[in-house]
Amino acid sequence: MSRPPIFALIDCNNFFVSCERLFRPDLRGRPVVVLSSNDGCVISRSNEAKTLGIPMAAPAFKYRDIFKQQGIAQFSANFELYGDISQRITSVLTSITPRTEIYSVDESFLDLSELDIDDYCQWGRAARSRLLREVGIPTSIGIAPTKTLAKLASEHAKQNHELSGVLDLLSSASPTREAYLSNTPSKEIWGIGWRLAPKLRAEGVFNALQLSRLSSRHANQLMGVHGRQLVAELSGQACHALEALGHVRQTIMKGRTFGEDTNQFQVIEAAIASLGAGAAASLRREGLLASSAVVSLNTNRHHPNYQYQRQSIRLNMPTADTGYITAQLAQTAAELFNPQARYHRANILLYDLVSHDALQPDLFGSIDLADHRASQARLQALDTINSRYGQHTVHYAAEDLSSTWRPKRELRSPHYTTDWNELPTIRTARFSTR
Amino acid sequence: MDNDLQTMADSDGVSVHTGFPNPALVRRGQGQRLALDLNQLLVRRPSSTYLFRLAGHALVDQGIYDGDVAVIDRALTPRPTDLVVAWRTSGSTLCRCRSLDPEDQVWGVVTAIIHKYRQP
Repeated sequence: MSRPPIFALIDCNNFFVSCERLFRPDLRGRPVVVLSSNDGCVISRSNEAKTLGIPMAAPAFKYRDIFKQQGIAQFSANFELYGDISQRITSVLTSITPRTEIYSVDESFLDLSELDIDDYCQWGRAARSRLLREVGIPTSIGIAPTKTLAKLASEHAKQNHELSGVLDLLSSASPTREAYLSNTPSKEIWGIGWRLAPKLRAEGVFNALQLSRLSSRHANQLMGVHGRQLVAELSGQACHALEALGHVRQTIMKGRTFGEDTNQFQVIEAAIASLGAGAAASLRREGLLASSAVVSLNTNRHHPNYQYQRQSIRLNMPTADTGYITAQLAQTAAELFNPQARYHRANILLYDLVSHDALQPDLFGSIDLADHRASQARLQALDTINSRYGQHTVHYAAEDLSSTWRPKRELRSPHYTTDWNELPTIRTARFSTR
Repeated sequence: MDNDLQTMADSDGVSVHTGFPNPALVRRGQGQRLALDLNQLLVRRPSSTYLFRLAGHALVDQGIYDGDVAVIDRALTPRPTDLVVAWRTSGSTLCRCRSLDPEDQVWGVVTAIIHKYRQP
């Protein structure tokens, strides 16, 4: 019989800002924000920026003056850097225990039940200081018998500085867990969104402790199975297991906001082609093939006559071929395109993903395997060239590299860890003082 | 089997037909080459290793040149004779640990300096 799980949630504090600060220690203690890929809105804030009242998702154009007045350092998103740092964190965590689930770019769950740990709080502090020292990223760690409680604990560990970044809520005997639960408003519980919180308030449930005391029947009536599991998880009974490592992703989504709204089909077609090429490269990187796709186009939702158009298509075989995918997507976009509309954003989604290894001749009898192999080899060469010499060295003709829609990333920091031409520079010195 | 013939792209991006995979060069099931990998020599801990480009001539007499690449490991505890990357309020430097001021902070320890003697 296996032991009951013990979950640790490792959450990187203000992750994107922390990545920027790693190579810019002069920014420690200074307010910093990171903007989304089109410099559209704030996606990460330092504690100092939070204190100054900069909200999450603040539109950059509205806050430019405030950023300037308050001396807030701004960065365009540098996802190459964040991705590399995230992988470093994962590899440290995996060396602690292979029972690791990467929940998002900055959060991972670990199951500690197979490790012999006497003092979980001490373990958490050691893991935290190792990540800070070796990778250079501050984290908060919550430890608990369920994922929901571990998430709640990590939030308190982040907010309450007396905890030094670690909160252990394993023990239900002490009054501690109850105190933290009653200090957690319902709307901040993992899985309770803006929709459920008012519903709970109407029932007199304002915090996590009250929620954990709902009868499972009542929870089921209010929120369905999801709610019943939530109540169980808050009272220490695990309903959610660690997701198996390397579980296959279900979809690949890519989208881009145009630099300015456009009624030019060439601009849209070029964007779709480039998104398609990026998505196809992601497929190949992960050894996947897509069987279906969605294209959606929308106008600016803040302007009158908002339009949202969406078309789903079935690809005639599972594929990761850039040429085929982009052609299909572009054709779908052409069918959706309305010349009267001024488009603001284009999205593509690839789904029904299967592992490349699953493509067997007997399963897909109609596929010309020789043709498939030639296409694979051509694409592999394309990926090799692009990874060696930088994205877009080789691209399909329809991919437009003009500035109309390419993310504005004007304030991007160097690709410190992923591009030989952008390594951080350091001056040599005989003595540090001279 | 998904590939009976191997096709590889060489450094110029030209497709090279390499014929049947040589079992002596291919690890079981993985298709990885067994040849020496410089990462083994230079990077002990990838998760804590960062690369920096050096600027300046202050350490030329110690064989450290402008444009060299320094391999930095953040996991190591610095010894007095170590070369380190240090951050201070006035900026960052690469120097010997023993010549640091007490308020300077060590960012990481140099484990190798890569100097290229010939450009392509």
